[in-house]
Amino acid sequence: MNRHIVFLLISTLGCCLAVAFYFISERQLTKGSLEATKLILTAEQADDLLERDLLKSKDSLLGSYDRIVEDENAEEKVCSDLKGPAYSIYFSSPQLEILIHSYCEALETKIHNVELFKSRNAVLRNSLHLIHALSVHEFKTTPPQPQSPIATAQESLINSSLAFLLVSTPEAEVKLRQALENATKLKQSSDDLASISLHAMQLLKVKKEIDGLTSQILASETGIFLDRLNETYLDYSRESNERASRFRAGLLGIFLTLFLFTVYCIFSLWRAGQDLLEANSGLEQKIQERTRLVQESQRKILEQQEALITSSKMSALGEMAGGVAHEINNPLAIITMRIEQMQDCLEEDRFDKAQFLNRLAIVKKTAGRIAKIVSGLRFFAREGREGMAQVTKACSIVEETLGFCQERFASHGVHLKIVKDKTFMEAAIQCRSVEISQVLLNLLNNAFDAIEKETEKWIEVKATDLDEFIEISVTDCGKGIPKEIQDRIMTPFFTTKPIGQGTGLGLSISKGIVEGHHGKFFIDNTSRNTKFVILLPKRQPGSANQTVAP
Amino acid sequence: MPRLLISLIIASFFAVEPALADPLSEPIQSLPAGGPASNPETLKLGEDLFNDTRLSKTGTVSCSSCHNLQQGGADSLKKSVGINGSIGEINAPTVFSSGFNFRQFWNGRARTLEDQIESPIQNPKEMGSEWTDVLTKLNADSAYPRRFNSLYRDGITKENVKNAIATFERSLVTPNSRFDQFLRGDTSAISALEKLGYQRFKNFGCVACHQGVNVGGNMFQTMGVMGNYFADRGAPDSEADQGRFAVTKNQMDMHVFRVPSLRNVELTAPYFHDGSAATLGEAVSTMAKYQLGRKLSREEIDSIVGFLKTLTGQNPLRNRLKVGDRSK
Repeated sequence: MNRHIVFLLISTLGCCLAVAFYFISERQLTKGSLEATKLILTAEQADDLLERDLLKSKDSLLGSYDRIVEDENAEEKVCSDLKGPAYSIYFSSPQLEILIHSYCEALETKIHNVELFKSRNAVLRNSLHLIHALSVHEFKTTPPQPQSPIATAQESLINSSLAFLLVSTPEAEVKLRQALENATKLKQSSDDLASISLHAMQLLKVKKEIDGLTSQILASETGIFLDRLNETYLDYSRESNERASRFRAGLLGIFLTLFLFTVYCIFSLWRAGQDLLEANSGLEQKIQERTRLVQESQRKILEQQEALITSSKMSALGEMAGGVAHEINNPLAIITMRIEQMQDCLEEDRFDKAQFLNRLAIVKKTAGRIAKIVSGLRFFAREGREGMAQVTKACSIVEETLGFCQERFASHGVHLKIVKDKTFMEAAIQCRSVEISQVLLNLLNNAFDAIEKETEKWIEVKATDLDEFIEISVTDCGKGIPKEIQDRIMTPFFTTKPIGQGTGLGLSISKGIVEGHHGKFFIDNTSRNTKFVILLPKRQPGSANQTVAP
Repeated sequence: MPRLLISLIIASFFAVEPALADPLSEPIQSLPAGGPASNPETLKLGEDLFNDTRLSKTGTVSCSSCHNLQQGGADSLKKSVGINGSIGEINAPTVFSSGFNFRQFWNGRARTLEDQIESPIQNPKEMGSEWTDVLTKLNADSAYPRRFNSLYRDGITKENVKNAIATFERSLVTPNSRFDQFLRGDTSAISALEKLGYQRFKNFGCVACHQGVNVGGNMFQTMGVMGNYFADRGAPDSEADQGRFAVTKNQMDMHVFRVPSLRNVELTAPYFHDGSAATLGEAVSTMAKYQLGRKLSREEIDSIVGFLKTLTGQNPLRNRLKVGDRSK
């Protein structure tokens, strides 16, 4: 797999894990939040305050319940907060939930008792006010005189009521009950006595109730539950913190791993970069070396090409040598025969002057032919490269070249057709005539080789003057060159001849020569037969001074 | 000797008292000026809803029909009249300073003003509506949707309607009554007779229940501690007469009611949950009989009524309530 994809996958996975761990640890940490502890402390405070304010109002004649209501509301609010969604994350443990539930239930009972206490305490206060007022009234007004039974009963009721209020022991209660009984037994009564009796009865009833309610409220389990809640929550939050720190450690581990991985990736990237740089500098060196080699090779190739051209010329010459020998052999035989004839005649003294002259004329003519061949050879063997392009008669190049092979073609039954238009005979061309001759000779030799097995052999050389150009085509009776080798035929060392016969350089060198003359060298596929065309400009660009060849 | 004992006991009782008593000098505290701070836009919205008859099924009754803000935040009827002229079960308590009550309704069945709104809107003898209809009507209004959307994230909902109305109601405090001025130290704010009335209010034990900032409204009490009010009244017990028992079904809560606030009591006649007391004097006399076990003289009643009238504060909507202008 691609290294980048692996890197991407590992990073993404690591990041996801890290984020998850982060949130889990945050969650665990918030579970151990101070908020929750504060809330529990608030509840404990409100609980204490409620009890304190309750005790205060229990012992006072006057006072408002607003404080108690505030305390109740505060504690109830804490309870609904504890149960509510805002704090649910802090108390998400069954143990805590049970404790909260128990606390809230205990609180409900407690508040119910507090409400009852408020009502009963108000009644008690009311009775206290009455008894107090009456006692003060009596204390102020009653003169020292024999007391009426009503007054006595009243006094004893007030006394026992106050005593009961202060100590509320069973003895005090018994005394109050006795006083009440005595008062009801009296035959006469007064409004005050009736009122006091009524209130004393209320006192008996309500005082005990209030004491009961107070002890119930004070014994309420809210405080215990809150303490336990606090303790349990501390444990729970400690555990949560531990868990959170474990997740944090995991988080750190992931970060470290990711960091190391990143470092590794960066390092390997750096390494790859270094390798690349190294490879680059090596490459440059190599390129320089290669370039140098290529240049050297090019130079060598050029040298070799030159040598090749020469050698191919020589090889063509060698090839030609057989033909030349043949060309020379024939006239030599003629000369030899005529000389032998004349020798015979002279030995037999049969000297016929006319006949002799005729024979000598033949010998001279034949020798002339040989001279012509030799002169052609010398022309051909001239080194061509160095020479500047010279203005030459186009038809002389063609004729000189054809001179090499006419005999050979004739002796092998090859019919050589030569077609020249009239203007061509006069046309002059600026060229290195030896090279052009070499190209033409090469084409003729190729044609000669190619049609060896044909039954009716012919080669046509056609020379045409095209104003600016000269076209020389060599057509043989072959049926053209197969398409598949046409492309390669001009490349060096390509040959269809048996090994040892061809160099494979002929056509490529020919092409090189023609193109060196800014001409074109190509196969004419429009012809039914194999047709090579040499198209040469009459003037070479850049050569202003034209010198006519000697 | 016993008298000496008595006097000592009493002296000790009262000598101990200041140390244990509430640090504030009086069992009644003055009202803070103004309600809790709230968005004026919400208040205006709440006020408009409070006065909007579309909250009722027939479109004839609004909150203000029974809680007339020009008439002490209540109506002047024994029992309120709802849609189609139906007579309600109970006397309408005042909406003024109701935010200071520890529970809402006579039987204290609602904890908050928000919860309280549920009942009259749905009660067939009051507004007789369904919330879905109310919300549909409000949504069809040209201005409400925009106003709600600007104040509440979720626009017109039951909760938001209740919140707006309750917010408005909490702002309906009636500060600066003459008695509040007295409590704040202006001893000349109430007359000598009124001072005497207050003294009696405390001495007779009225203050045992009617105390705190709202002069009541912070506890429950049985109607008829010192006598059977309902037997003496004669009329058969209705569910409204059962008080808290209707809520808790606890026999101890039979005839138990939230102690009503006495602020602006002068303006909220008739009195009691059944509206049986037409005048303040009558109410004071009945309370003394059944709650305090006392028979008060005419003079005593008058002085207490005099004191009670000093509890009339400034109308939050107007500068001062009609009757409250007398003193200055």
